[in-house]
Amino acid sequence: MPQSTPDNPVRIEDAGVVRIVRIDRPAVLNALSPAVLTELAAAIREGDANPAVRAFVLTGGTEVFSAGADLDALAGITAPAYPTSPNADAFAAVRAARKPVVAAVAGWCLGGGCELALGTDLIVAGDTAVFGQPEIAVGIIPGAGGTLLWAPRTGPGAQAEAALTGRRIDAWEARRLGLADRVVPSAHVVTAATALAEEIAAKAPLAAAAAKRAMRGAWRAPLEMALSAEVEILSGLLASEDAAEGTAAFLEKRAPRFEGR
Amino acid sequence: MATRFEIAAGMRDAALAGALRKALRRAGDGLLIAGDLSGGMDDARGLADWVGALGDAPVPVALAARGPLGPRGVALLLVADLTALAPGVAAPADWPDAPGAPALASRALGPAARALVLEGGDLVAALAATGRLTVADDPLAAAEARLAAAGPGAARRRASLTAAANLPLREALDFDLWHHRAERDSR
Repeated sequence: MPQSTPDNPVRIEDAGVVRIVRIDRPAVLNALSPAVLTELAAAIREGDANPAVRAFVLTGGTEVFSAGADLDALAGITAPAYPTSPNADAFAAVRAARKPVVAAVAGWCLGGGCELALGTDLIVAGDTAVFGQPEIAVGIIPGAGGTLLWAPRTGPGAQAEAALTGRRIDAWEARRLGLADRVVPSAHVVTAATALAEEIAAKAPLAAAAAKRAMRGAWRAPLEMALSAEVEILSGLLASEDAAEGTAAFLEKRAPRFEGR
Repeated sequence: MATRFEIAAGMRDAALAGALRKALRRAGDGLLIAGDLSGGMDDARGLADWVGALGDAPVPVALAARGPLGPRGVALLLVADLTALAPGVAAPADWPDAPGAPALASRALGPAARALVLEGGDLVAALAATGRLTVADDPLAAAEARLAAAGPGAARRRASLTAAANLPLREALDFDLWHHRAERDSR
């Protein structure tokens, strides 16, 4: 089984025809560094092209899915560079996977972590899972689907509350809202997600891929346009003084002072 | 091994919520709450946050209670799984008007809560009748003993109780069966 290293913080494990892609930076709550996102995109694209793989499980393990982007890394991205950054590319790779992807989520699933999960087809949540889009607290917006991908699952109210207040919700509320599709004990979340992926993988592969394409096709054109617009909006926001202040305040563990500039 | 959490006098709801969430994350086999229960509500969101965290806790929550009981004590009596209460301590007569009390009583006592909340019945007696509350000269020792008696499987059972309170029956069953599948597979 491949091991993660600081330069390769994503583990890949094949369980039969199911490829388990695991973010493996537990010391930093599986924060999404450029290296994580680059490896993640590569793992999904390679698996998508590999005929031996029929479905994916995307996980951070049984303790934490991902607490979100490395703010240090995000702070270094300029507005013009964001749309082509590893950040934007990795989320696009997960959303674009032709094969079914099941997220196994335990613990924190915040910010970019939540957007990764939202890019999958089914979300199996452990009972410790906590979902949220806290970006507004640091003067930016979610830039990889967090203002758009809640709504198809939860409806517009929960979407607006997530994007505008940054409120976190636990696994039970996530299930009630439809954000999570199943809730299992966190200790078994990867096993449960893998079992679900195996169930899907046992079906006809062409039909599974076609069903996925059909399900997403209904909203692909407008959603893709909206997602592009979201990236552009975030790119502009990253250049604002408020975004710099929000990030600085977070890193300095103090309350931000937003001026609307 | 359970974790003990002491509520300081004057602790605000938001601070209590944050501290309890941290305590629950490292609670081990259970969380034992003691300390000052005389406080009121200073922040509705904070109160909802800490009460919700305890209500959906992943481990058993025990309460060692000495008087006097304020609105905070009433909420804790209603949300704790296992309570040991010092003799002679009673809930205030207006306990149904404590913030969150009707909702918590309904969850703790089911349909029996209706008359109790509307007429202001004896909360301690009602909880004692369910087995959730016992009276003890040394509430701390008694609460510790109740948690210990629940055994090492209590956290697993508590998680399944939380699942049952939050999920439809089939999904709650499936949640609990994951524990049993794992036990079977390990044999």
